[in-house]
Amino acid sequence: MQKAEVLQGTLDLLVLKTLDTLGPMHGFGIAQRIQQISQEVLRLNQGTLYPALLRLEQRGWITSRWGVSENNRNAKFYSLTARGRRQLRNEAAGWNQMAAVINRVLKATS
Amino acid sequence: MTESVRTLVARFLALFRRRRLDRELDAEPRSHLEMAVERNLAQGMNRVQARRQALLEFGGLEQTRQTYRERRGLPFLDALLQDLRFAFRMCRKSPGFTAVAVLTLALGIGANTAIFSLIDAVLLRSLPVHDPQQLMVFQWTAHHSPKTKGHYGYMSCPSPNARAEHGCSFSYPMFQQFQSLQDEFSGVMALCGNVGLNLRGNGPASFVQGEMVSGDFFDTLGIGPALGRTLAPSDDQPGAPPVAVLSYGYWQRAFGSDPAVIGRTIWLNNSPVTIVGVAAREFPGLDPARVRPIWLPLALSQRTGMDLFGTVSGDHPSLEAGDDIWWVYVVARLKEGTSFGQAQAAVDAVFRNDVLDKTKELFKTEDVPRLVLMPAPQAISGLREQFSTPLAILMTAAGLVLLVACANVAGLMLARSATRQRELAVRLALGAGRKRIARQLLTESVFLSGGGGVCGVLLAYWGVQSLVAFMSRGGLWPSHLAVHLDLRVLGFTMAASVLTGILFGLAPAFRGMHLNLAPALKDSLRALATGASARRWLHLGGGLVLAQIALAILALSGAGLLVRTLENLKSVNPGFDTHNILLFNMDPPLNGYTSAQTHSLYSQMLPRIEAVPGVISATYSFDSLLSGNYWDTSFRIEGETRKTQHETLGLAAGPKFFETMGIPVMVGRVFTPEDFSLPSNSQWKPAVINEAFARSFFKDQNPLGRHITGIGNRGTSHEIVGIVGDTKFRALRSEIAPTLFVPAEGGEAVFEVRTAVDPRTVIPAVRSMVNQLDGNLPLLSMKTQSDEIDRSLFQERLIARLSSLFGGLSLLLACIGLYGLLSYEVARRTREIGVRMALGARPSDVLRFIVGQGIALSAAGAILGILGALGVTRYLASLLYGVRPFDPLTFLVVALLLALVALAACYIPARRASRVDPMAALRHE
Repeated sequence: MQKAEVLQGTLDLLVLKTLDTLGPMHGFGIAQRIQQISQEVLRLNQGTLYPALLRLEQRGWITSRWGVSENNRNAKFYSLTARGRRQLRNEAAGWNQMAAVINRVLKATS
Repeated sequence: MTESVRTLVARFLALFRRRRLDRELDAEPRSHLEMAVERNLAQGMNRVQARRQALLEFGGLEQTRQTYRERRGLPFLDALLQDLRFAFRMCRKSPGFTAVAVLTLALGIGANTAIFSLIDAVLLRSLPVHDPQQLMVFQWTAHHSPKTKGHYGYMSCPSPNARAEHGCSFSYPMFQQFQSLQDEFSGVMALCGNVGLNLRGNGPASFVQGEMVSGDFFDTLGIGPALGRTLAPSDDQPGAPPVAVLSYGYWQRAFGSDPAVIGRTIWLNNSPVTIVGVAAREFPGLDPARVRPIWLPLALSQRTGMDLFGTVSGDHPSLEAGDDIWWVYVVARLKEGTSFGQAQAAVDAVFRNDVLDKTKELFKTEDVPRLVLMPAPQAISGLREQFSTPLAILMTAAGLVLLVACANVAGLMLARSATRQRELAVRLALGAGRKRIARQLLTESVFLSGGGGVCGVLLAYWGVQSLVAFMSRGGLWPSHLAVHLDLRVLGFTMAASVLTGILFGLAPAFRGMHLNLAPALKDSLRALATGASARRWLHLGGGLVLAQIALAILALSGAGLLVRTLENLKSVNPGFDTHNILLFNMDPPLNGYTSAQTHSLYSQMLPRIEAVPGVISATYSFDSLLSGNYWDTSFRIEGETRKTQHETLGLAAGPKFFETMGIPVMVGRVFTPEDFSLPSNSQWKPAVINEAFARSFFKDQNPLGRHITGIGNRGTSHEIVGIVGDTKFRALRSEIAPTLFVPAEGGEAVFEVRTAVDPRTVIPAVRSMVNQLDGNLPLLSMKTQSDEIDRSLFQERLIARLSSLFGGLSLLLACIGLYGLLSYEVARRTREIGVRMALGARPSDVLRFIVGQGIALSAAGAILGILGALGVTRYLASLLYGVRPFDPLTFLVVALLLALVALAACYIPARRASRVDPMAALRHE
């Protein structure tokens, strides 16, 4: 399978999910995680992650704080807000619905 | 939805934390990359490989930063702030250009702001009452006017239908019927004015014009008191204690804002009246054009004895007057929930019911009388009638001035952009978008015009204050109407500034956008000099300057003609000696004097006035010469074969009139004291005529001894006893007209006192002399004859001043335009000039060359302007006096003035051209 480009909207969803699962994390960690979970299928220019994180922060779905990483490096940590958690649930539900509908359409023989 | 708001707020706030956010923007990717490198090292790559891999995975670092930055702030605002800072620096770099541009724009924008603030004060302000749209003015229309014994007009009454007769006055009983329409109106009030009142009890006796109003006047209009109380319906009953309400301005002026004025008694036409209140500050009166100092209840019309000015015909009005005297103006407030149609139908029914009543013979059925309601803002035109046309003309002129200013500054900016080609080219090469460049140039323009706007506001403020003060002195401007620069005016200025900036900034911005990079980088001057667009701009610029010069000539010629008119009028010989004459009015009948008593008073006054030191002689007449008041009457000449009715101007004069005024007696005699004590039934009263009268009606016959009949209202008969020299009567401009002088019998009169010294010095003595005779008689409108003449010439003075101002302004702008154009030329041809000088041309040759260009352009503009003036000044003919519209002297002077100014404008660029260093020019970009 070709390495698909990750769309902007889905990137938001992935970031939110990552933060929800793994708790507060820095940008590099988020990028690694997304790559890892999708089993190397989803590759993104890691640079595009940061504008996306900025957007999410401007919308109030995540907050950021400078902290120290496991390797004693200064890094900016992002965490999910209550609003973000709600957004995640809504979007996930939307995705699942969409997927189910498309599945039905594709399976319909008559 | 809230997300976008949040985002916007976050982006806006980010503008203020730029530096900190920028640091973070550096730190974050760095830490990311370091962690990536660590991971790669852990996976076994060497240092170089690790770093390369990390960068590859990250993607473009600079792009990320750019995207991030754009998303973080508001890039539009960022760029704007950056542009503004840059514009500020550029302006500081060339202070000369900035000063000239800002001055030009200030003149253009300032002129518009000034006129707009006048328009705002006069036309745009709503009536000073509560919710004026709900107030309805009652108006009747019919095919013919009603048969009334008296019909008084006071307020403005615009016609709803040009073909029908109309009016806004009603009888008191009719008003009372309207008052009963409680369902449709929450308040119905009536008013009537001008009421001449002799006011006593507040210092020396004075004369005011008041308004008589019904009891609910203030309530209907929604006006409260500033002090005390306003009138109530109980005050407007016959037999109620007489009260009055002062206007705020009058209370300030005449009573010194004394709070103890409430409860004071004053005497109006010898009747005592108690002051119960002062109206609210913002209320000068219902109609801004008719501002009155005092309001009285209508019920007082019995006591104070009305003396109405205005359209007077028939018997006097009062509360007791019946249906056949129509004298009150009715205004009512629509009740909440009542529609206009409902109310109109109701009043119309009441009206028609009443006037078509056969017992009163007011209207016939075929006249189709109807009552129409008109909303107050429409009906009460206030100052609009007087001022809309002049203001429209002024606004147009100001708009033209602004356009010319814009054209000017565009030219100046083009000239400057010639030297900025390289800078712009470099910027384009470094990656600036063309639109970005254009935006930056536009921002510079708007910045300049913003500066022009600020200076313009200051100029406008000062200009308007002096203009309004000037017009107030001449009585052309209502003194209560303050013109201030309120928000609306400032908003207008801001809009004008921005639009101006965009307008004149378009040309340079356009050029900047379409810059050809390569030639510009290499050698910007050549790009300038040979571009086809450059030549196009030159022609356009030249055309603009030509037009400006032509306009300036036009404006100056008009101004010159008007100024000469003023000078001519000032030096016209009016036929009498205008120096050192004191004038004042007296109105004894207002105090209850009979005709005989007035006459006796005047006879006592004259010798006493003459006894005052410094007075040479004194007299009186019913109108004073050149006051604008006059009387014309028809008459018949006895002994004429055809018994035609003739018309003549007339003047009732007192003893020694001709001697005091310095009018020479040609033939026969003038009035003697005996002429004034003739019994009223004597057959032939004496009359004196002027030479024009003799020429018109008697040609070669001898007028002395001839009889004239049918003079004035009472048709008196006179015998001509003398002929005096011609004088101007109505105005300095008027032709000498036949004038008939008759002896004055007691009435309101103007006293003329000839003094040996400055007339003003005898005022206190004359005043005290009159006070001794009767302390209750006010001396009104004291002025000198010279003041009177100045006042009569006021319009000419105003027009001369304004047109000179506009002429001067146009000339200044044309001069700036010429300067800008020539500077551009010189900048464009610096290389060529360098070459010429290297080949042997002397600085003076270059100077002459440039100046020659300027003079040629000016001459062309001047010829165009003079041709235009010849075509246009004929429209001024009605305003001119003593000077023809094609007066060659005026045109010559204007042309010379232009030549001088053009030379001055050419000088600086020419000098710069002559100072070009050939070596630098040849090497120079």
